[in-house]
Amino acid sequence: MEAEDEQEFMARAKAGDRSAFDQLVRLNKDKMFALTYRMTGDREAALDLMQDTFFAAFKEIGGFRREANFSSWLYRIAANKTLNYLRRKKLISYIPLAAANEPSYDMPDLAGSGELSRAILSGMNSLPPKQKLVFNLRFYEQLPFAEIAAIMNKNESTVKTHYQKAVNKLREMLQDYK
Amino acid sequence: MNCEQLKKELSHKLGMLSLTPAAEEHLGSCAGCMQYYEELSSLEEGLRFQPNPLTKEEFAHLQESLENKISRFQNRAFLFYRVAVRYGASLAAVLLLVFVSMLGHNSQKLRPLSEGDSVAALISGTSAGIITDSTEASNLTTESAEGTDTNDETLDDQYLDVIIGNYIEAYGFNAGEMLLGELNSDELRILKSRMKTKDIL
Repeated sequence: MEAEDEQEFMARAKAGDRSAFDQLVRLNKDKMFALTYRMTGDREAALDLMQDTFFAAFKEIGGFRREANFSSWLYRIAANKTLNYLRRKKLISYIPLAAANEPSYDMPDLAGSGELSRAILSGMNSLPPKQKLVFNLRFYEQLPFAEIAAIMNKNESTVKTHYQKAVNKLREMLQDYK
Repeated sequence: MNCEQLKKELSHKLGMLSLTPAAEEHLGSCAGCMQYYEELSSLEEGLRFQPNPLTKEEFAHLQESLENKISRFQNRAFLFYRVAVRYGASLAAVLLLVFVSMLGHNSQKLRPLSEGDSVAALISGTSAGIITDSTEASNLTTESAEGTDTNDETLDDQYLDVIIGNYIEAYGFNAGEMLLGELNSDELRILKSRMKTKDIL
């Protein structure tokens, strides 16, 4: 149902309907926020990147091909902007250690195991941006490798290699911690 | 299935870890792979946390900022068109008369825009580069004001394109973009097709 709504809103937005574009923003805000926040570990930066992503989408929606997947297209814009942000600011960290103590970052599944969560976050911190991006899109957003490859304009085997490397780094880091 | 294949398969499945019958069979007889599987299982468990979702206030702020940004963008584009419509007719008429005049008087020639030409000068039609004789230019400007009622639309399109095209060619696309404001993709497409500046854009 949501996908059908998205197609309809997208078609209307493409024709210049602003309210339809607002609906597209609503439908995709949580996904975009989750990605940009996990990638930057900075709530403010994530919100700025979201805004840039939606603004870019608004400007370019006239050229968007209807047969393409709108969410994937948005992911692609967000991913590029986030990678650029990380490159520009040299913010390769996932979540700064200090941020793990901030009340705004909720980790309910790790209640009572704060050190473990910090160890995992620290491991995520150390991943190169592209590995981190692949890891987030796959692990948290549950996207197929083929879709991630399309988003990143890479081939599928490269994306799988990125993921495998990220997983092994995190696994090794977890073993070192234990 | 060997150990390397199994580890590769398991690592690709992290996040939705599951075992195929072949993998289960291998794990039953390989302590090393079983340990690898258990490590991935605990890693998967440890990674299952969610950041606080976007709050209503944050989203409201985002919507407001986005709305402002979009409005500014649309206003800039609208402003450009207004300026183009407002000054286009007189500018086109001036240029046409200059052109006709130069055909008649071989000594008066158009030359490409140079670094010294400013947009304001172009719009006012008094750039030293466009009209080589300023007295003649002044006369032509006066004549053009009287002649703008005829063929306005054709002249607008034709000569605005020439001016903008020359400007982009002289200063590059970025300068052209500054001149035009931020255009959306439709506007850019129209511009490209009308101006034949694909190599530049």
